[in-house]
Amino acid sequence: MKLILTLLDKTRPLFQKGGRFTALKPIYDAADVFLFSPLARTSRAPHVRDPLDTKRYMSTVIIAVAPCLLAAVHFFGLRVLAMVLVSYAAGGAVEVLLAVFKKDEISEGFLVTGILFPLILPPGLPLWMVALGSAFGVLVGKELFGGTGRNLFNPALIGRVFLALSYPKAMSSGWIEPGQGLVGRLLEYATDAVTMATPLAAAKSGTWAALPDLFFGNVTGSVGETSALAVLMGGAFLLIIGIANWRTVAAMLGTFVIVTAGIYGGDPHAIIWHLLSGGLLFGAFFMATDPVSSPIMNSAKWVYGAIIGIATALIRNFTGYVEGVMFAILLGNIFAPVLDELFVTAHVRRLREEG
Amino acid sequence: MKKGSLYTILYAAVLGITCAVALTAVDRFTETRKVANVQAEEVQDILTVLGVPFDAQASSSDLLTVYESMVDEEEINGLTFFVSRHPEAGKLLATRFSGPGLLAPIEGLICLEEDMRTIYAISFYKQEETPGLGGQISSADFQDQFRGKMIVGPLGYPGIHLVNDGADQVNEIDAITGATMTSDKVEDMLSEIIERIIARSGADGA
Amino acid sequence: MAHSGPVVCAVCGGSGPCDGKGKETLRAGVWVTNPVSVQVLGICSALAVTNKLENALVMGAALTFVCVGTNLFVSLLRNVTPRRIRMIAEVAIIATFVIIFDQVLRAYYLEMSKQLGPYVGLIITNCIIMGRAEAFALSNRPVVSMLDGLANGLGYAVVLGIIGFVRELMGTGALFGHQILGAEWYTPNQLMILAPGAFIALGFLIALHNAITGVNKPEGKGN
Repeated sequence: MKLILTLLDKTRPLFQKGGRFTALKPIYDAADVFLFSPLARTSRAPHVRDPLDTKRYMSTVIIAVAPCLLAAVHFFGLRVLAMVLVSYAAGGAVEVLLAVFKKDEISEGFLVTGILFPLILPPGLPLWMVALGSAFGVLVGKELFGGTGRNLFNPALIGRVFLALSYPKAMSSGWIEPGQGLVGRLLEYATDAVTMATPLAAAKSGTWAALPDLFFGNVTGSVGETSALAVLMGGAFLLIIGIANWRTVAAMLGTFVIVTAGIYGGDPHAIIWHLLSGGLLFGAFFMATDPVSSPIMNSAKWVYGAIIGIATALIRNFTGYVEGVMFAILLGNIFAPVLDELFVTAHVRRLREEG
Repeated sequence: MKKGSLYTILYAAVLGITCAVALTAVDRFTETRKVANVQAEEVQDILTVLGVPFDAQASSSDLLTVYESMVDEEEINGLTFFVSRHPEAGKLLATRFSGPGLLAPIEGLICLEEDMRTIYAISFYKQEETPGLGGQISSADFQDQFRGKMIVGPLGYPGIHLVNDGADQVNEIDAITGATMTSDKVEDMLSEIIERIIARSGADGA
Repeated sequence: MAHSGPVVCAVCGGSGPCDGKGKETLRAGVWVTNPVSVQVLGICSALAVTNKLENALVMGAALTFVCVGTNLFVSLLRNVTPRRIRMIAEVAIIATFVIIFDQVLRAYYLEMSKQLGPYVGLIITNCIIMGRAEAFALSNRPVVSMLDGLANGLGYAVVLGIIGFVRELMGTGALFGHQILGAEWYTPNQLMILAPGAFIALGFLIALHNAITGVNKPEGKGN
């Protein structure tokens, strides 16, 4: 490490203004920042309090999704790792190209998006679609809004919604049957595996998956969302560290339970079943809590989570879509800045009246 | 450029009349073609589903001639049937059906063989379902599936079913993956027309 | 869709009569003040009919025809039209041209007429036409007014053509209905056929236009 640090320090002048490789400065900075630590502190969300900088924030999220990733490889094969690699390569390439074009720094924001994105896709999706979605998510979902910390929507979800609308057939049929037993598909690449309907789709025609299967993840679904156990492990870690805000999660899951209970007349099996199925838990812990696209005020987070929870339950039960988490979170994202505005104004007015 | 009220009224009247005359002229000039187009379009749908060969580039009047020489219309119990003779399939009878789709109304034609039970062809000529999903109902692949299927199940229950787990019965069709709502609505509108067809041919004593 | 901005000549920037030269008038309509990619007018139809290149071009032709005709007649009548009812008079002229085009399309090209649906009729409310009639034809001589109508119509048609080209090619792999990209390796991107695809395509086109003309360049961006 020392050697690399010396090397980076020595070559620094080459990349500074006037240096020989000025155009490649973003790449140099990326190497510097990724391996060591950024020199700058953030001025916009995600807001960071020392000693937790953006990079460490990102690394923590990556540690938290590790259980999901492991479960995914177990159930859906080594193909999952290929998807992660492709997602990183495509999104990273767009990020680097734009940074060079805008003569800006490469931000580490993509480290998280790049791993969350493949986890919310069907495991049988062609790799070129993974690449396209990742690139689109970074370009339109993030860079066009001004880059890391300025995006209105969660870039991974933008990438997914782009794929869902562009290639509806591939996005609604790439559900690989999960591997069975202790080894699962750990040693397989699994492209020719049998595909079948997701539990939520099957439930529409009356076949309800067993609760233990949903809990451990032995069902079809998006790569990282099937195992409720793995999501809960990672999610609990994020909540304890304080990276994911518990208010968002509580409001989202709470309202979802209430609305679902209303729809199913309080049947506890149906409530737990819906809670464990699809991408609800994954969305609640990893997507809705994204500090950039969710509101900053704690009070606003309650309303934000409630909007997502209610919308998810309604979309799942009353529309042609079997899963609604993706649209619900994007809908919540739209409201986030407005909610912040409302709650800040209310807060300021209250302070004025008191003081 | 201040002008009096009388001038304004006169100006408006002259402009209005000029525009009206121009429009009437255009309307008269294009009328015959427009009427022929609308007829030709209906005729084209019917000829297609009846399997009558015609030149796709043919003019409206040629299409009408083909239609008049090849197709008879029969009205039985409120259902209009378009009847033709096919060199191989014998007497064919087609009738219209319609119903609500997911996004907009769907209209189609169903063509039966002489036994009034076997489907010769089906066409969804008007639909605005989600492109790529429900919209596939007007694709040749989907419509061709109906060829040779029955409108009555093996146990004698009327209706065509769109199923997800492999169509293995004489009255089952593979539904479109990812378009459950459209498939359901298509199934509903087919059941409705099939019930009416059965009721009609039942009255015939068939 | 109402045109509510100040009446400004696209060629000279003034509000009085314009003696712009033909070439500049054309350049203004197609590039400098392109009605769609610069003024962002007529978006509704531009987004709705551009899922196929052919539809986009016919719609462009329709708008050009109406715009030229309207500008000619509004300009011819500019000295006899009472100010009080000039807008109604303009709408009457616009509507006449729109209906003429619509009827001819229905008679000679029914397939296209059905695909364009209500959007030919809605040209009546297209703010490009009303805008050009108010801003230009009302205060200019007939020939230069026609040229202005032609320029703006072409500007609209060019933008629609580009969006239609991108959407049809990406969305179906075809152009004018002929398969260009092989079906065995190209998977059509259905988003491009849907309305959001039009928004995205138009957004990128406007961004490209701005990048070339240098509008919105951040000032004094330090690094």
